[in-house]
Amino acid sequence: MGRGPLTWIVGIAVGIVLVLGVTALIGTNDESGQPVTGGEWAQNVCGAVGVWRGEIEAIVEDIRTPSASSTAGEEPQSETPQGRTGFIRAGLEQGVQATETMVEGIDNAGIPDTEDGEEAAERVSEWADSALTELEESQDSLDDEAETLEESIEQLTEAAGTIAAVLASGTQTIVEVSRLDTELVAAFVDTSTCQQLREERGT
Amino acid sequence: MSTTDWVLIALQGAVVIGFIALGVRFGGMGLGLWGGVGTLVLVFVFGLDPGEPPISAMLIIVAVISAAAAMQAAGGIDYMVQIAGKALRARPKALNFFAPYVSWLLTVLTGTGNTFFSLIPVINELAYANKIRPERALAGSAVASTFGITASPVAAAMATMLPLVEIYNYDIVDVLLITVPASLIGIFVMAVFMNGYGKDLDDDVEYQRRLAAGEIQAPAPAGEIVLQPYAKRSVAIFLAGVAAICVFGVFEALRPTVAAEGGGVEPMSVTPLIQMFMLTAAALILLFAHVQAGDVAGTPIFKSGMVAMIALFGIAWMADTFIANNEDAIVSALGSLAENWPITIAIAIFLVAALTTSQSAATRTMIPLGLALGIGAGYMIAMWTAVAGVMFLPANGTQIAAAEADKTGTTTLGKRVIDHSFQVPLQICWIVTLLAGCAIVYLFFGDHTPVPPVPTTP
Repeated sequence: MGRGPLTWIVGIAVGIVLVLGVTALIGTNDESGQPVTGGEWAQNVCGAVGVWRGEIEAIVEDIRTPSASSTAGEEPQSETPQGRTGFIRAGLEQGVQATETMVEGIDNAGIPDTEDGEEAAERVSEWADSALTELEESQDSLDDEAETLEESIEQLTEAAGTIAAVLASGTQTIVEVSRLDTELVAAFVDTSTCQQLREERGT
Repeated sequence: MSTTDWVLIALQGAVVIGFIALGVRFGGMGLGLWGGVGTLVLVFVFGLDPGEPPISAMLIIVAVISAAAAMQAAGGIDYMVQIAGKALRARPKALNFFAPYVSWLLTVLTGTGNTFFSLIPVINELAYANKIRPERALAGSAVASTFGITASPVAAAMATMLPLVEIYNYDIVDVLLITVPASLIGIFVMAVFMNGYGKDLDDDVEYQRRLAAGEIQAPAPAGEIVLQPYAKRSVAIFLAGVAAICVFGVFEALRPTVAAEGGGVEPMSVTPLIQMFMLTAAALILLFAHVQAGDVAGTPIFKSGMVAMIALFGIAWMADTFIANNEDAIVSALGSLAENWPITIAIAIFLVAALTTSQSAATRTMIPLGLALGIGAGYMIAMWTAVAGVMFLPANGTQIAAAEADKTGTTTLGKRVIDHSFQVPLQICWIVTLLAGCAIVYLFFGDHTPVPPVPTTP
């Protein structure tokens, strides 16, 4: 093949069109505001929460053992005090980003077509929104300059504590909505993502 | 983000691209030096915080080049050329297939593309000695080594990926069952293409110019090579060093443990191991192949390696300064693109990897988004291979080192930043790998997400 720019621009364009076509064929699952079966809803909600939980776990691990997983860890000699305090801030930023994605996933899950389905969707959505607000507020609180060492430590502790709190409240919310009506109970028992989420919570 | 912020980001991006283009025009060390000027402009004019220079990659280049140059001084490269010449006599172009797969395997075993640095001088010399356009083997191998990341059980990006798909019942074996065959197919198609890519050396204008100007010597026929007495020994030591890196990359338990930040201990990362083993290999070659230390610095491999290191220093530092200060905006913009047009998710993954030059960042930010949009987890694993987009811009250490190693001038970093030698193989490989991965998921995994369950409990 010649190396003229036109040849490879056309080739790449054809490839990209192919990728777009295949992605369109695979399709997405945007059911926002639409009634879906309890099983489908539970599968999607547990999936979104499970992915979010995995991200939060990774963030906590990053804060706890930065040298093991962050790029800065490859260069311990260049690790600076600024970089160290930045871990919690960076973790919160990533947490906010992960939670925004989870909210999107929960919105796309639709509304379960069960007796208390609307209430279930509303409660999960409320929790996701409040988790996002709490993490954002916590992130903002780090912008206020602490006047004393004690205040500074308190800020960091509160920020890290917020991550743990939203994780716990999320688990609790899922447990509560899974008991709202018999169809939802069955849906949460049968779906693979909810089973996986329960296993992870157990461990 | 206000319009002013976007204008500023665009201006900073233009500075980065402009200085890369300027550096490429000067070539060699000029690339690094203009990269340094670009960093200075970003910091002093735009007030950005300086990013991290790529210390690890630079030190790996130093260590690997020391070993490869010592081997060259001992005549080891000549020996490898002779052996390869015999092996490739019937089909010299087989190198264009063999080299990418070896490069891919090394990355798979060690979890880092940095191991590819050790192959660059060898592939370059073997290609040139066999009168194969070095660009074909070098660019193909550099790209193939990047695809080893998503096929490696020990890569950092894999550690980021697994927690995201475990909820959908995909474990590491499932992920590898998708990414390994997909990347093998992608590399094969790319190699087929690269096998006929560009003009043959005899017809290449730039190579002929360099040859006529005496900037480069014509390759000596394998039969005429007179081996130095300890050439074989130096090759054995060098290859033993590479093998040791692979063994320690695969078996974490063999690695020494270091104190973990959060308490306890953890296995040492592969990066310092590569440096240690390569420096040791260089020292052993000096000792057992009777090479004078002063001769090592005079070899062509050493000179091109050092130039590559300086080039990488400036360019990667400038790129990191831009990226570290704008990563959130880049990710957010491409995330919005994928949210609004979900069919662009694979391209968004590719672009996030390209613009952040981080496979882990692209994984962490874009895979959850794709899953939230309701794309099946299996398909997201297939699309994850698009994180190879890190090679889209010529700011990667292996790209710079490969271009510097090739004295024929066929492997280039491009004149317009994105028209570098690695672009076409990259585009072929990521598109084919992604499509092959999707086909594998469709045929063998089905779509795990969502599985509408039938309630069984009343």
